[in-house]
Amino acid sequence: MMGLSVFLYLRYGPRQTPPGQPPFVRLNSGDFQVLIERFNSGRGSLRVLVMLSPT
Amino acid sequence: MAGASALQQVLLEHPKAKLKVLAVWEPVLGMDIAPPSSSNLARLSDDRVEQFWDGGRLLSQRLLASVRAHPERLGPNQREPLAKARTVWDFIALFPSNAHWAEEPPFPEFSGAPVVDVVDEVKSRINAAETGLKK
Repeated sequence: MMGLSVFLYLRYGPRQTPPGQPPFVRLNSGDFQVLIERFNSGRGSLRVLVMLSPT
Repeated sequence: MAGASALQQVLLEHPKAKLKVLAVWEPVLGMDIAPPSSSNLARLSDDRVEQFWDGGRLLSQRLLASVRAHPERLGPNQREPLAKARTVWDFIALFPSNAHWAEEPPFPEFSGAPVVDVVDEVKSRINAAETGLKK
């Protein structure tokens, strides 16, 4: 039971982004548009897209 | 993870560059069962960064579909690895200030992987953008 709780917390628990950054966004097929909107909202700036693995 | 730290160092060196950084974390390796922890998110601490978790690797799928639909945009040495690739990761791309994402992602002015191997080129291009020089 404790293992399951730890797993659920790791997977779904809150994540805090560093100060000054917007809240962490979990994308799924229903709200992928959020990423596109954030990209386009940066028009006028050089945009950097980086794709990383957490481990 | 090294890629995040390397990019953060570039951002530290260019505090005034007009940038928007979209950092998309995704599961790639077997141990990637959860989004990055808050301490991992802190590796990219610059306030020009926005961070996302893409648990279904949706962005990777879209990028691969886009480049496979337009192989003419790729150099000869990019075509073969991309034809075999199943996931885009440890990857960085730079888009000009007028880039717009409509039906498909725009094509980057520069891209490369792994991040630590191309970070000097990224730095050079950010420097050029900051000083108004077109590379």
